[in-house]
Amino acid sequence: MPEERKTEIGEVHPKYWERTVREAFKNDPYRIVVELVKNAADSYTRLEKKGNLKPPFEIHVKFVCRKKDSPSIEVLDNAEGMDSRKLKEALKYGTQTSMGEDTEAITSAEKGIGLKDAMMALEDNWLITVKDGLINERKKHLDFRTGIGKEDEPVTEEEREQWEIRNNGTVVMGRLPDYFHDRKFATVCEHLQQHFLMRKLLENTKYKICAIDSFTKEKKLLEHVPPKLEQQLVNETFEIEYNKTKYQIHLLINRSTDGLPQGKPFGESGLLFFYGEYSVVDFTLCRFDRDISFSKCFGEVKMEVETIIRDTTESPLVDEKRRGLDPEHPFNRKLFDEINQRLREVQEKEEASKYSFDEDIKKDIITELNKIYKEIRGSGLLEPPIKPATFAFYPVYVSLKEYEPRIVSLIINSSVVTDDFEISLQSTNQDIIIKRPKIVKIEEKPREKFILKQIELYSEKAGMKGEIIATRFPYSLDSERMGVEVLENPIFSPTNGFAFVPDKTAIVDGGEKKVDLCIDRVAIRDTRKITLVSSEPVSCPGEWLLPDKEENLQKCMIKNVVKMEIPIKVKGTDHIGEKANVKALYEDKVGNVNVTVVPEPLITGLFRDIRFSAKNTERICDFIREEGVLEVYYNHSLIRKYMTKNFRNRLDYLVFIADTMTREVIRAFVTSGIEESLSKFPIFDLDHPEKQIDMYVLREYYENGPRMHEMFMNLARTLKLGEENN
Amino acid sequence: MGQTGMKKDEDVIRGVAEYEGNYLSLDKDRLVLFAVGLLESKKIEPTFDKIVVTTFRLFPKKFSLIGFAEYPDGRTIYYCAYNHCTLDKKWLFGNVQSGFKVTERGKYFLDETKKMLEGKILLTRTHQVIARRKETTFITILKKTNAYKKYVQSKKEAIGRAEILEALMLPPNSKSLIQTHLKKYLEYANRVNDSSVVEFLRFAEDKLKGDNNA
Repeated sequence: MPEERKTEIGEVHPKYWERTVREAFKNDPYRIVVELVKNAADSYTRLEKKGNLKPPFEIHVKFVCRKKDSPSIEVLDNAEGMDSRKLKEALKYGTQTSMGEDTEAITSAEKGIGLKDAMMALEDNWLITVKDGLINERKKHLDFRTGIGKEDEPVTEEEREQWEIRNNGTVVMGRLPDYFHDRKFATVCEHLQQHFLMRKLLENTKYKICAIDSFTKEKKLLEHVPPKLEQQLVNETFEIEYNKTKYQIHLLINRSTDGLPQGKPFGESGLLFFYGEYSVVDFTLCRFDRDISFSKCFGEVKMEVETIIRDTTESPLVDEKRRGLDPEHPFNRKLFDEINQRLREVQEKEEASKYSFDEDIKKDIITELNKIYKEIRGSGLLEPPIKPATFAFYPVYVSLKEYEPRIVSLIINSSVVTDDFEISLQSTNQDIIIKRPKIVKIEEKPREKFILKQIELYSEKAGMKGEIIATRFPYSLDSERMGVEVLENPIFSPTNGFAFVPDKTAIVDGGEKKVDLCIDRVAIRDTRKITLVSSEPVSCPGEWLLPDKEENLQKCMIKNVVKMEIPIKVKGTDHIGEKANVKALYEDKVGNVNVTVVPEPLITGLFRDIRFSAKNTERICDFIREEGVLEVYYNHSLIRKYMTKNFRNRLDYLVFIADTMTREVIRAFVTSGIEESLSKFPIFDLDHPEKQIDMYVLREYYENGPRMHEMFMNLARTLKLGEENN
Repeated sequence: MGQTGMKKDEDVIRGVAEYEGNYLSLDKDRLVLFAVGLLESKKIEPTFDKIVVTTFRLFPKKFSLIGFAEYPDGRTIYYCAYNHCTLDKKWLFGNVQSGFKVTERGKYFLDETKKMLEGKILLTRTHQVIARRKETTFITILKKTNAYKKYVQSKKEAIGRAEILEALMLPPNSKSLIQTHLKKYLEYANRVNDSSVVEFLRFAEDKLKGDNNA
């Protein structure tokens, strides 16, 4: 070991190193070795560019492995070496030194992990370098001081032999930190070969990187064997425009014959992001990272971004903690969007679901979900329509239709809310039912000035009138009233006892829907056949049979009416604006519905589609934000478990699917609400928002969950096999 | 009710004073409903004429004619009482021929309106005070022009002649019309009592004069 003769003070505060570099090394201790190897490779590259040396370039990585302690390491190159001036620059923080793979590139403390960081991570570290016959020895202390051994002294033959530096070159040595857990030489070699940061370097034939076991003298040439290629999926060059400059990106996506391990640092399934020849910056599948459906995908993204990296005014593409490309950097955002789009296309080609939901029910549910989200947003962002001094119903009078639930609001001024605050709700007419909630409680001190609570009312008796009375407990007996009347539902009074209700409807061009044919029970005789006739461009079944047994007929009955859902369909497309008529004939009775063909309405809002997907993922259900799609993955083992014979009618399957979807939708509501900075979802600790997100999810689950459960159970019942979703 | 009774009703209505609280933010339909409710509470049959006078006396700032603050805007009250409160909202029952009556449904909204007038419930949305007439229509259009917006933002220097002409709905080469339009707009602005528009029109007048002299 060299002898330390004097020291120089450090330049940055140790906190910076603790916060960034040490954390990066702790997450992935192999980075220390990689950094030293890469430094050696960079030195060779610079020599090659100057025309002073030709490949192969040898780098020796010597390990002294011990059973109970982390290994010691020596990384040796016979490249440029450094004189004391350059050495000073290389070990100093915050300076701009021309040291990377690209001779014009800038590496500094803020731009990446450098030699000094790797040295600092090594215990008892020393750097010995020889250039033009002069030897320099330095060490880096944990408090950033630089220890100096020999300084520009002529190198002796003995020293050359000791450090194995034939002409010019550098050797860095030290003991790897405690958090480097691997102890066996073979394991260390294997991990180095698999490490994503080493991959491009090992694939480059110019460099010969040899790992040497100090005890056995075993020498192993490190190499990376790419996965076995089955098919090339994408090979494309595109441009990313950033700050009025276009940067070329070469994207290669392959499919391997076998499933590959995923994730950094040793996974194989993913895209290797790099610039230059071997400077790897990330290994990820963007939004599909660790998605099992991509477990056979591997490839690379070559980024011609050297000018961004050289630009000192530009924020670094790699995040501060060196986890990979910074997803918030505008360039990376654009890059990830482009790649996500291509990965999605790959996914769509690879996967096509065998299942589909009933389109009409699905659309209704999507509309309802968007409405619920609007309500959630509304109560968070916008003010309620009225601001009561205590609490009040809104509206103050409501008309219900029999057999149709109706939602009203109770607006509460949060200034009256105390810890044991509760409002009890009572109906003065037993035929007018408060479905939920009977008692309004405020669990925690509200942050909004006004709280909007939804109340669901229901009645099955037309003509009823009554009041809903809200009474506040415990310290006051304030009460508020809301008038309620129950109107006749037109489906129960079909014209002549046999009619479509309503008698006018619109249908999407090229689409299909169901229209309600209502028949008064007293109008039903022995004949079971209803004849159906439609005019162009709408088609419908030629006939429809009423259930033959009384008990089956009873199942279709609500009150006094048998409601039949008759499917109608537009023949082909390009019929927008055309009108048609569907006629139903039963004995001497005739029912008509006028149909107008309209263009497909655009579904706007957070949710745009719900899919039962064939993707293999670790998740059961996921909301794809960019597309607004809620996906349920039926190949997931937990779902498969329920999808056995007649599963559509089994309660355990329905409840499981409905609850999974409900929870995912609610999480999507909350996370979207947080992104939109809704006052309903404030986040205090932005670094660790998970706890608060979970709390909001739970709150919304109790508030909106029951409604969604019912909707998703209905949807799950309509699952059809054999129709392609895409 | 006899002749003396009728007179008595009129006397009672003549004695109705302007509502003391803030009623400007409430919508006119609720105010008409309140007036009908008041008549019913005083056992006065709410016929159309009585509703017009009671509404106007209670809420003169909301139901007077533009430029004639001492006269009620009978047309607006009719629309509120019949078209809105009776046909649409079903708060009232009846018509001009048979008079009006607060319905069961209307009673709930009447209670709510009373609370609003007492300040127990505040409305998030505030409603327009001035009726939609030619004056308000033209002033509203003028307020949407670039020239007026810049004037409000204290960017007077940035307002060009063309922008002022556009605000006053004047074609580019029509010196003869400038005074006529300015006069009309000033008249409308004064009638609807909009001082900021009056100031803008004075500024526009000066600017146009200055440009002509140059």
